[in-house]
Amino acid sequence: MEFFFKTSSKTKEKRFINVCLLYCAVRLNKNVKFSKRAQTWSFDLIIAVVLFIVVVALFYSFLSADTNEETTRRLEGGAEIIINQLNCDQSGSTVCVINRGTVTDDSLQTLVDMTYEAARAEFGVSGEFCIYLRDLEGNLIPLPDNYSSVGKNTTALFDTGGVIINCGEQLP
Amino acid sequence: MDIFTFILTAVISFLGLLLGLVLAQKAPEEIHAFKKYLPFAQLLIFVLIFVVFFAFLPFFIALALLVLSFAFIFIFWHKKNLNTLDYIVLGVLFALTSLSAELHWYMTLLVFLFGIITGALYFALHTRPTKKKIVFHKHSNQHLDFGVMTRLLFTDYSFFLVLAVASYFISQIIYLLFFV
Repeated sequence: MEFFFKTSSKTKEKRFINVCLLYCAVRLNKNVKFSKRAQTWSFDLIIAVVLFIVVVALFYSFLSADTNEETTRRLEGGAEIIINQLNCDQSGSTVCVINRGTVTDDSLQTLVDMTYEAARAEFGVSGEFCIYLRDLEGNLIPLPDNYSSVGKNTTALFDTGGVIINCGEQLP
Repeated sequence: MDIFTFILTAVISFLGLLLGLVLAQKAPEEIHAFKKYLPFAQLLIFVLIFVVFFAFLPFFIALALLVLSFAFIFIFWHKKNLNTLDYIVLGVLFALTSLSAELHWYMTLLVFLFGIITGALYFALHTRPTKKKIVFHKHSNQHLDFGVMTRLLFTDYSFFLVLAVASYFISQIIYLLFFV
């Protein structure tokens, strides 16, 4: 300790960390004395590692923000494609349901009868989707055969009085 | 990527070191014969990691990481000590790869392979060449028990897990504080 306090203030912290690390190394490696010493965690190295972590964390954040924006854009693009496909005035699709501003039961029946994969292939989208109808007050309008919606059935969308209904399931 | 998956992949990639040590213990003669080629294999895997980075990340970010990593290793390289700087770099970069599942899968695989080479090299650096299954310390006649070797290996390299998890949390905190 006397030796420690006699050193200059500049090297005090560095020496203290080295003493602590040396103590830990001796405690852990007391059985064997290796010819090659393990990595010396000097004060400089610790500062460099912290800076390195911060720089990488900044890169992570930039990339993460970019990825989220890209995902949102992709989903919006997919939704727009489906909306256009559902509109018979804009597309000649066989699964269109809106004809001159009116939704017909026959076209909805065609959509309900299709499998999810077939509908996805018809829409030409790679992402997952769920199509459902709501009135002006936000209430769910059942599709033919009392189906809640059409889409990927692993997505829980509706909570009707404590009963969770997945997309594409029939209403109770 | 959630924290549990991240920690699990970090542990899996870290276990490459143990596998390397086990393999070296099974074939000590061969490891000593091929000892001089192991650093080249390490360098090859390290370069492969950056090739994957260039494939998955934007060019300038991958380039910046490459320059930073090699500069870091170059500055702090110690000629006499056992250098674990490569694992410091890998630990920090491991967190960055959690952005993409595919990139993280490749990173886990490559760090695992890197660990096998490093574990074998660790064995070769600390033992004497022998034809027997019992291994001895390089300079003294002290018998090296496998348990002791494993414990020392983990002592020297366990910071990888700490750095990986710390980098992950710091990245998440910075993202939530400044980018959301």
